[in-house]
Amino acid sequence: MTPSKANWLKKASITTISLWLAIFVFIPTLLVIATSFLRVGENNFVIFSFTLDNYQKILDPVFFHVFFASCYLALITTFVCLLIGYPFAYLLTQFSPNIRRILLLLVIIPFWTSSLIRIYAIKILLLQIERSLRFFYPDVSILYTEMAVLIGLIYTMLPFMILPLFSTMEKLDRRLIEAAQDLGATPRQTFMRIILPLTIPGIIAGSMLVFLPVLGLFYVTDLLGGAKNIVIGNLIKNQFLVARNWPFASAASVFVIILMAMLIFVYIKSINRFGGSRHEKVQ
Amino acid sequence: MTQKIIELKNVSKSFGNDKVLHNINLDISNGEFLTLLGPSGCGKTTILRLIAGFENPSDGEIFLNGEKINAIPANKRNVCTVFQNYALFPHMNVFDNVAFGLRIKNLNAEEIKTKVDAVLKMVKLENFAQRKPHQLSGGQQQRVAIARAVVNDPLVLVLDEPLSALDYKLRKDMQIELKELQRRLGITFIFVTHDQEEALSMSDRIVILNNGNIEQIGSPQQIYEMPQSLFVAQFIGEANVLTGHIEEVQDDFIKVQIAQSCYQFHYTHSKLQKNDKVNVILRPEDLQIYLDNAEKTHCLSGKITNIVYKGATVDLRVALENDNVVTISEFFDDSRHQKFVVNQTIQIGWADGVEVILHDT
Amino acid sequence: MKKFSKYLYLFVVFVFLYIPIFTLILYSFNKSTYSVAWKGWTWSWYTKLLANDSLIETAIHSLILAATSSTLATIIGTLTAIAIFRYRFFGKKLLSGLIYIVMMSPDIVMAISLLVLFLLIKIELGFWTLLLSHITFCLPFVIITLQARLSQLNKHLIEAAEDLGANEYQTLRYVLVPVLFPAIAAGWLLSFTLSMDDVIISFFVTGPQFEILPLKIYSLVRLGVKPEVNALCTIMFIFTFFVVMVSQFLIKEK
Ligand SMILES: Nc1ncnc2c1ncn2[C@@H]1O[C@H](COP(=O)(O)OP(=O)(O)OP(=O)(O)O)[C@@H](O)[C@H]1O
Ligand SMILES: [Mg+2]
Repeated sequence: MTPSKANWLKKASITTISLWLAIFVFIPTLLVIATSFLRVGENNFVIFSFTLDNYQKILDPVFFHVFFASCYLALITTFVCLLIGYPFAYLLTQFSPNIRRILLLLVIIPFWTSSLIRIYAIKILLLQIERSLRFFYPDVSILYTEMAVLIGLIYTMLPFMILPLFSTMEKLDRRLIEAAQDLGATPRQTFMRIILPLTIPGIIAGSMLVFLPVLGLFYVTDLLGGAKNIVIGNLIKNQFLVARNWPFASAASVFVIILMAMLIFVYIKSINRFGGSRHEKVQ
Repeated sequence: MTQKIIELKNVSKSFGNDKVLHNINLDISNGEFLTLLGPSGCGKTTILRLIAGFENPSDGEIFLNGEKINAIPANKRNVCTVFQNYALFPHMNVFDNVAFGLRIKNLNAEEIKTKVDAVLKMVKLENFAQRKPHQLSGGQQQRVAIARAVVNDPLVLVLDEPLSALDYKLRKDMQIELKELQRRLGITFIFVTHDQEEALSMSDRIVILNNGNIEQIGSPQQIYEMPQSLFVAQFIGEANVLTGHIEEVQDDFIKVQIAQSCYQFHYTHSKLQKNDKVNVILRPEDLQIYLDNAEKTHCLSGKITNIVYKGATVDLRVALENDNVVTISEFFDDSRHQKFVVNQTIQIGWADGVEVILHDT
Repeated sequence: MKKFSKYLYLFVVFVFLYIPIFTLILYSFNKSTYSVAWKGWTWSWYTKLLANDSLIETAIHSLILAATSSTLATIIGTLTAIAIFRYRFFGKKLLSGLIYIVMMSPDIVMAISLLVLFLLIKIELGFWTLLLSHITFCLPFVIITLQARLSQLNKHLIEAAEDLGANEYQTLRYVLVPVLFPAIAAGWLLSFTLSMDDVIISFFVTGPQFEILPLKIYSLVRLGVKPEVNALCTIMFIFTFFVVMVSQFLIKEK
């Protein structure tokens, strides 16, 4: 841009951010990966000897159940959020810009609100519902079931699905839809051949924003689930802070990192394949 | 003429592997109004950015007032730019926009006020000093952009298509204003435009660029009447091109074979030789229609294919015997032009010396 | 009819999103202490809350932490976004990609990584570790908020300033920062709420000396439903609501 005279502002900004990310993101991630290959010591500390035990332990039925159940839960949450969020986001784009802005604001408010508070709120609601239902069915229980956890997760994560979907759909050129109709496509065909492919990057971005955090949301299961309903987040928390098994907790964390890497790979592929600009987060 | 204010010596510019300027040599005199003209992508903006200091030349040297400025950044060059979309600072009012450069130079408030007021008055915006850019019309924004630049007393003002965003009428007015302003200030203007009429009417000299090369430099009249290449001839105004070859070269005339006929032209340059291929360029307004069949030195016959009424003038498209099509432009005269109909066979001629003969390379 | 079902669908989803929050707000005014049954209106939980010194202290801790971390994140993030926008430099693509990855990465992963780092270099867990962590997770959000605004900016604005003699710093100070101000403020507000709301990362990197509000709320709600907590959560929600309003206003403003 300007003649390439080195200037301190440029140097300072780039150095700061690079160092920051190196120290607080890159190195810590390497440390976790390294820790995941170490053994636990006598005094809850690590011993510097290489092992794959921690990864084998993931396959141990007791723990494998947690990983499996937690991915399953995340998958269902993602799927239900997509099912609710996709038509919802699409309907939002149908409104005039002014109304759309207000409706969008109504999605953004919960998006910004602490999910802990929202989980607590849904706990109160479920408590109410449970109490009312007990008049008719004394044995019914909602709270502390897997269903409660699922409802809580869907409730927390829904805005994270709607917003990226909405931003992809908003960018969708309406003339493409009109062109498709003009060429004789039925609404169904228009959806399957035009709208769906063009919104795939949004779907993947939304799914990523839902799926990955769910694995870690230990307080949702804490507040709404029973002792049996736990996610990887609970496991990591317990292993790290209670059982003091850092290597195993790190291995669990690496497991999540690998899932994330895979999803990011799919996302980039989908952008290259289906075009569209990089999804921008809506505030 | 007067002293050179800017010199480009063998300047080349590449973006990656893409060479967009090839060995540009250009001297710009102090106080002149120079226009860069050429098709889109030919490198006009790039030359301006090199002069203003937003790009570095890949090769060659740039001098400002005799001093080499290759390594001097834009903020240290006494060259100011008027950007195509004005680039007014949206958060500042007109006064603050214009005062920006002076404040950077740490002038005192009083001096700034005097200077800014004077410049705003000059561009007739003294009553708009407190407005924000978005509260101004396109033409007013344009004038703020110019005021913001000239208030710094630059040696050179660089303008990249400053009028292209304005509508036709406003553009015409601004052309006159700009030209007057330049005369009054005596600053060198380097101006880029797409509009050849604008270039012809405003400039002292025009530089015609094509594909990163200078095709011709000259006064508007030179460019129009003596194009040095087919590109220039066809780019500026309309040109009828007749292709032929040299039959005979004499001391003061040559004979050119065009289609089946042979024509004699006064020509004293020595460059052409027998059998050379040439293009004979004739402007539409230089061609005339002869109604009688009297023999003239330059005479072609053809059939009218189309008659286009253009208000003050009328254009006739004529297909010649050799399938060339030429356009003839005449002042409209009702009684005369009533006689022409499509498919009529007519004779076309031109006065001696209006043609330009170019070697076909 | 078709239109009606569309509206109905939107309505039902919005109800789903808002009913729990409204229930919470309603119950923060409920007289009953132990039961969830409605016993009439009262302000008393709010007055109790204000009288709770340890809670107030925790809230002040959180406000200090959020203000500091969002300010620092905004400064670093703004400079970064501008550097990425303005300059060509080695590793620019990598940096932009990394910023997206940090934004996408789940809290639990960042929490563990940071904790391992802090334990290894033996910093005492508390305010400083919280601050460093909060800056880290706020940074990508600030950068991306600013990038959205920068992408709409007239590219020649920076050149115009340079052309008029401004150096790098003056261009930043007198042109870029004022023009970007709404986005910078929006980025700051976003960071502020993120910091005020974070549970997972703070849970790992906090120490006993420095208690913060989200963790306090977490420890309270684990114990069950309490009317004071309802009041506290209501206040937090209303606070977020205003922050969203202000930031939306800032972003929309031309
Ligand atoms: N920053 C850049 N990076 C790569 N190529 C560039 C850059 N700037 C210009 N070019 C290329 O240089 C060539 C000349 O561009 P320039 O902008 O000078 O053209 P121009 O004559 O001003 O055209 P127009 O009339 O359309 O404005 C073009 O082919 C363009 O694609
Ligand atoms: Mg240009």
